[in-house]
Amino acid sequence: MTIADLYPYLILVGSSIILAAVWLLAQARMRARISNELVSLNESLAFDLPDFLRNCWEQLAKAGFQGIDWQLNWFGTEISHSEGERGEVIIERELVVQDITLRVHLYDSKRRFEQRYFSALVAESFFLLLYTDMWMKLGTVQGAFTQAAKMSVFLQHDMKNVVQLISLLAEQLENSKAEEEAKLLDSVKVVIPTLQERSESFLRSLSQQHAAEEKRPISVASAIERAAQIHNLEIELAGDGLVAINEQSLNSICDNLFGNYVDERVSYPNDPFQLQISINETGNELEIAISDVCGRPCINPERLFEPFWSAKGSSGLGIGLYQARQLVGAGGGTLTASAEADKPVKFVIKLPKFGEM
Amino acid sequence: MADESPEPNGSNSENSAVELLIVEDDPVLRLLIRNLLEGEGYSITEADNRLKAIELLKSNQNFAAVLLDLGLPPVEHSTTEGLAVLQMIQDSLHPAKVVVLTGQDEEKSALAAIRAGAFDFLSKPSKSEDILNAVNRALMFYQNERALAQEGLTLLQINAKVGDGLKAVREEAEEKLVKQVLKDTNFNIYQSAAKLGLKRESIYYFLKKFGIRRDDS
Repeated sequence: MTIADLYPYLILVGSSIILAAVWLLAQARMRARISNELVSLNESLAFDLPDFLRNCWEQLAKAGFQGIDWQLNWFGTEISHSEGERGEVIIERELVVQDITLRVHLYDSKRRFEQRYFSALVAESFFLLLYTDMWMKLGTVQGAFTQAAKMSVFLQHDMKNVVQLISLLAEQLENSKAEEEAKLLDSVKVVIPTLQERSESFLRSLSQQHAAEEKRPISVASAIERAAQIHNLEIELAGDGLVAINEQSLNSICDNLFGNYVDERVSYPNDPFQLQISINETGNELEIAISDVCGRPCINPERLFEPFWSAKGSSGLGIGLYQARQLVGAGGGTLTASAEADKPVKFVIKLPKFGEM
Repeated sequence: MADESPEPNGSNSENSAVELLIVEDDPVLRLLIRNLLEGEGYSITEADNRLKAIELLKSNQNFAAVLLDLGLPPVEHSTTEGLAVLQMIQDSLHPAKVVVLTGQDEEKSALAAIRAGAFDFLSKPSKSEDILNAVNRALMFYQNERALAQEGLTLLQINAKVGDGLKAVREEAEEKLVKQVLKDTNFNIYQSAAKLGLKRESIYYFLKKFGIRRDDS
């Protein structure tokens, strides 16, 4: 027998291997597509576990499963559902994440070799999605509660100050002696605008709605100077320009930004301090750059605008810069921070020039 | 807060010699409290943060009482800064009585303030009458302590854990008494030893034991 006699057999074996490889590849692609479809379905249902469970059968059936049943305890409510038939093989999983418990049975036919692995691959992807949904739900719920609790503590504290103000003022008005009336009137002139400003600030903290969209040309330099004066900050200001943004919003943006520098001054009173602010026109925009050029580098620059994260830990509400960024965004601009290693943070606000909106 | 009004603290003109310190970061609230206390004739000084308060307390031993907000910048929503002022007053044996007026979580901060040596605790919002009562009571204690001091008696405030036993209490009392006498004698070792009925060597022993330096007293 010569080697030439073996050719037909070699060709047959080779072809078989190629065909098997192509078939396996097609099978793998099909499972990958099904897994992707499950991911997309989950995303389209906003990662809602009960909805996902109710709608996933079509994809699982495509993957060759014979049936599914599940029992879900969703924050104390029991729900269950089944689709398809009971097969010979059961793939069972129980997932528990605090107040959510899920028991799933996937029914499969008896499979051999590679089919068993393909089936397990889809099942595991499916279980992983379920588990992720459970954690996402829990994270959202806990996050909302934590934020609400934190907000409530802060608002309560500030509200107590306001009530204390009103109560002292009312008592002083009631008990005022004739010779003290001028002094009292001076106090009233200071207290009433402060109360108004704080009440508005509460409302702003509690709602995403911003003050009426009344837009007149406002000098950025004047707003910055006024805010710096209120916060008793020395600044080096260069340039000016007019923007069309709600005046209260602009004041609020300046207040929130300067508040951080005031905190720094109190925390590190012996540090040098040089707050440089430049206002420049760039095309249709006004660019306001703010930086304490002698300041310390920021340790967590990625957290600067994250709501409810504060460098002051639980002592800070963590919405100052977040709110500033939202307000700049609502005014058609952008607020960014550049934080290079070993350099102080530089805030850059870009706002449309007046008449360019 | 008890309802009975304390004895009036003398006439307004007499009160003008009484110096009070208001430590409050809210400028408007500070103004109204100032109005209230000035109405009683007291002489008022203001501070809006811990550093300023400590600087004023160090430079003026005549403050009879401090009205202290615990939530001061940069951490207005925590008691850290206010408690640090309170601690400084205790450590430096400043004679002023501290009345805490704060909007922080009531139970927790009241306990922390009393532990740190506060004379009284008021939570916001408080009535003018309650603030005045608390300040007047604090002044009454301050004046009585001054009178006792002139007779050579020193009031020691000790927070003791029963579990720590008597030794810990004795040591704290020793430390406070030695510190107080050193302060009274302007760190004169000879006079302090005479006052305490000890040898000078004993005073040096206590200085070393408690790590007392001239700045601390």
